[in-house]
Amino acid sequence: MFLQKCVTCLLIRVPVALVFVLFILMLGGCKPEKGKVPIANPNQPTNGKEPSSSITLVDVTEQSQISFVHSYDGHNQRYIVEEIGSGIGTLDFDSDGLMDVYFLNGASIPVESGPKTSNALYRNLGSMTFVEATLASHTEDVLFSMGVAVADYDSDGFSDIFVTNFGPNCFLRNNGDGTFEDVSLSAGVGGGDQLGAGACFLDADRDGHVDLFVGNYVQSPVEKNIKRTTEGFPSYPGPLDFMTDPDFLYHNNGDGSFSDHSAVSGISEHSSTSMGCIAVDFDDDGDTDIFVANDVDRNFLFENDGTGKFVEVGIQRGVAFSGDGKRNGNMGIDCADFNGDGALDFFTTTFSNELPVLYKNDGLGNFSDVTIEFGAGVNLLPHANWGTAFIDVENDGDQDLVIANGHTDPNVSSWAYTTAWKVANTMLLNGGDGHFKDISKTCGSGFAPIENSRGVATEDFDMDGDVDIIILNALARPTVIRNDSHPMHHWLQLDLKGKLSSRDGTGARVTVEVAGKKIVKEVHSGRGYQSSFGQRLHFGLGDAKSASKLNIRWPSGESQVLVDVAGDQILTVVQP
Amino acid sequence: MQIDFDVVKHVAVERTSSPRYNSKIAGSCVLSRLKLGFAATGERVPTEPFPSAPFFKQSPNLKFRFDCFGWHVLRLVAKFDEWKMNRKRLFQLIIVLNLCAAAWIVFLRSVSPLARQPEASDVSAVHTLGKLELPARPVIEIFDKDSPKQVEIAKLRTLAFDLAENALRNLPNNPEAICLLGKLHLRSGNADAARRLWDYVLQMEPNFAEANIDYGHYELNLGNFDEAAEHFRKAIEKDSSRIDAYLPLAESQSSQRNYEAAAKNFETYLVQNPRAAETWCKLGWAYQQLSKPSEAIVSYSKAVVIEPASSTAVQGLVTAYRALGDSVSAKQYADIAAELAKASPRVVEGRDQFDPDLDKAREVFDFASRSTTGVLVQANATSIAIAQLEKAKALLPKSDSIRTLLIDLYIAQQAVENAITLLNEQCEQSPGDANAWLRLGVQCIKFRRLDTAEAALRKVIELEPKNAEAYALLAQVQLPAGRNPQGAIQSARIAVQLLPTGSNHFILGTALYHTGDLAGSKQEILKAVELEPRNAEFRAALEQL
Repeated sequence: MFLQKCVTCLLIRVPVALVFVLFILMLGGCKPEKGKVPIANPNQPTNGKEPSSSITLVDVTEQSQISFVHSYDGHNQRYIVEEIGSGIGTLDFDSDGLMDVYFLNGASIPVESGPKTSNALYRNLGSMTFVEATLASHTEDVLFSMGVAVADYDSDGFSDIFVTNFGPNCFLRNNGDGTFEDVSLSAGVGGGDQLGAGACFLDADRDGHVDLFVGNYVQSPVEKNIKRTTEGFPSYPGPLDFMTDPDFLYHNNGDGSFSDHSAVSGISEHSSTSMGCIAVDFDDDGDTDIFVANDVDRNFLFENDGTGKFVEVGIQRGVAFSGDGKRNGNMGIDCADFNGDGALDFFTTTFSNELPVLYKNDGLGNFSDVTIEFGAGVNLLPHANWGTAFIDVENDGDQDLVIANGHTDPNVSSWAYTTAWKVANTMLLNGGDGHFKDISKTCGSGFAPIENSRGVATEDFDMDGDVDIIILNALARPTVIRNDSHPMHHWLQLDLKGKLSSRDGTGARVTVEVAGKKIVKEVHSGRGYQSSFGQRLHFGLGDAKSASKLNIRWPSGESQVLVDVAGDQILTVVQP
Repeated sequence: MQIDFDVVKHVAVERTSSPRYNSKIAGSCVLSRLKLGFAATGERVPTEPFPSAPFFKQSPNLKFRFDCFGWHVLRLVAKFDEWKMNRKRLFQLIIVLNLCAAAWIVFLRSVSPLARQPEASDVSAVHTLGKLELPARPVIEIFDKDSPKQVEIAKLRTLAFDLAENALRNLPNNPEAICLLGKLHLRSGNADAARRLWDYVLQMEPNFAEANIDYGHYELNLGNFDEAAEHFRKAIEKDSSRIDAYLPLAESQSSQRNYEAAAKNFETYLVQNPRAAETWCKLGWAYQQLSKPSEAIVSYSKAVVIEPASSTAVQGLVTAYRALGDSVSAKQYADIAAELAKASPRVVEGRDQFDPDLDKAREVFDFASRSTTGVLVQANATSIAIAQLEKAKALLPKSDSIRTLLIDLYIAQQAVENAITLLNEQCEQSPGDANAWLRLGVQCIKFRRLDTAEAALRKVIELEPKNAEAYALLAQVQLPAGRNPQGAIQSARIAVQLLPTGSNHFILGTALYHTGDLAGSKQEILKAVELEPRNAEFRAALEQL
């Protein structure tokens, strides 16, 4: 009886138990995996691999002894100011022949709410090593700095530094003894309480004194900050959330002071979200015009009538939009003759989901978007790009491109699969016919670091005849890249000294004829992404040991011709 | 002579099948690619807490089936003592339990790829796929719990995943449901999960175009134009009716500098979408790259006709005329472009009230709810779709999209009472929405709530004084005995004035008949027959007169 009861009990309970055991097992099998699958960096470089091309760009950040760390702190308020800084300036501040570097820094918002940070000046010791000289040179600027322009505004032979800030701008006059003096107030270029952006010097009215263009971004970025989210994650407001601020044009009075010519010059008739800017004679008519890259808006091209008055012709000239008519989130801007036709072309960097734009000049000052045709960064569609510079990386006489990348939102990887906050930078090699090839993964360790980059500056820092690169990284140390390419090509560098024209040659246009080719360059004092570099013009001569002809057109109108100029030298040319 | 003038019924039916009415329903509830099938017979929502076994065994809802099964087991156990068990009953019970256990195992194994283990003997495509696990959802955090917007965004995102995953649980291996879940994962930045789901679909249903289209967009956004073009091409090969694949295919080809092919595919897309101004601009750009400025000018000009303020099109004309050597026209259009730029100043006021992230979250949720509803309705699981939406509505009571979908489903299910409740709610929330009032009026007519219908229709007329449909419906509401026949004549006359259709003449004729004006009635019905000679009802009415 007992046995029967047990059997009965088992017969009942076993299937029921079996059912529930199976059920639990099945539930376990259905359980979704925990955690998010990490997304591989879409632009993962080949770290540690030997470069396969003849271009060798080496990361020498450690040995450069540059300890500057870009920083800012918005105390989790996510101000738009935080996203967009900062640029780099280069100058030979101590006249030792070596190009020094001025790094712009962020700050706490408000400035008093955190530890004091400042911009940093690094003296070049040669061989790609630097030593900080900020305190000794009195180049501290503790505000949140955005853009920089370098020029010899008082024609005393020494390069001065203008810095745009969130808050009053800062103008540092070089005393010629290795120290600087803040002349913002006496020069009258301190501005008000704007959020400055790119700046550039130009001799707008060709009176021999460099004037100053200052781009401004948006109004009241802190007072009118809007808290935004993206896919539920805290993010930043965009430029469309704020009123724009008109740009300034300061006229150099020649006595150390400037007058506000924003209205009389026609500049303040237009207002947008200025980012990078460059002064260039795009229509080759002898006066200097201004290109302003605007964020989520049409670009401005201010055409100079020769007297310092400007008309905005961006739409008419074809540079306002990308070829498909989009108002891009334009960031940086540089110019060069990328296809060797003698006309200066433009390249703008843009925000993610937009291609950067290569605007080809038809020789008459009209432009068309040829980005895809020439492969100028077509693989950069997913990424936000900032600093940019045309450089001849292997001295073969054509213009290659450096592009700094990184998104504005540190949370971007939480909601986007296409990009990341930190993205490796890009090196595009010009094939000689204007077509570009991305060599970032094969050109050495210089383009391996994955950072959130902004300003780019290029110079021959180690004076070995090729152009090196320094890239400012947000919330990190900069990346210092030494050019170790040894393609056995020749080169020529020019330091221009104006007399009737501005002392540092700003705006001078140089055409170098070499082996039947013409290479055209201008001296810019402010370019790229809110940066300033390359006043010492660098020409790759390829296999030629000399340039057959040098034609210098000074901003004051005179032309100067030199013939059979030997290569592999830094030549100082003084205006007759 | 007696005429059967059951006009209320007639017109109510007619209105719900009128093109305008249908287009509104369709516009509000159907995304073209979802193929919502409202003609399908859906299941009823069970009214008993745990219905009989045959019902729950048929239900595709896994959780529901489990609840039902558990309830029946418990009921059996409870009866165990009542039976004062004898041996025969005991063995019956054991057999039943064993059968239950076997059925339960079979049932669990059959319900979903989520729980299936592949077997060597399995030869079907599905069986060889192995186990598809639902990918982990993205972490949906609320960073500022005091922010109602953030709370809503989190709710919307969670609900979108709930809907998609529940649809998949109810319809295991439904490729559309899997693709939808993939889209949601991709949108949340989880590309790996999205790819896994699409791969699964492509293995399971190699001819299912949607997964290729999704994959194509994924590659396109990454700038992988070759891969993107390949996926779109495959999608078109699989389903040539997918015109929506031609546009991104052309965009990919344009980015590959294959402008000849791009232009061809833009043109194919434009045949079906001739009002797509942006695509005309893209075609213009392709022609421009092919050094065909004349063709580019034609394309950009078409875009300008559709969207005169399109700066893209005008800028395109500048470039194209310049390429053609016509500098006068180029300058003319450049001036227009400059004017357009000046005419669209930046507006910052109110930006703090505008939340693009919330809008996006709502869009995604709308897409998810419409898609899952479409998938479920198509699979004859309307009751599950309704249950899902009702649950979602409880969480987001003010969501227009959920309410609209529910109204449509209730109407399709003839659950008029529920539809009226929601329509009332919609009218309260959007008192200026004439269409909502009109729909309320129509449903009230169906349900013979003539006072409410009249009030709703008068509201429509107040909002849209020239709405002939509202007057025609009002006439019918006023017509029945004891209401307002003279008012019906007046309303019907206005309807005829505003829109002299056969139907409106017929309504007027009916109203006149009810007031004894037989001559007038005959005249109007004669007009109705003249306008719609094939309408049997009009002809019958005329014959009787």
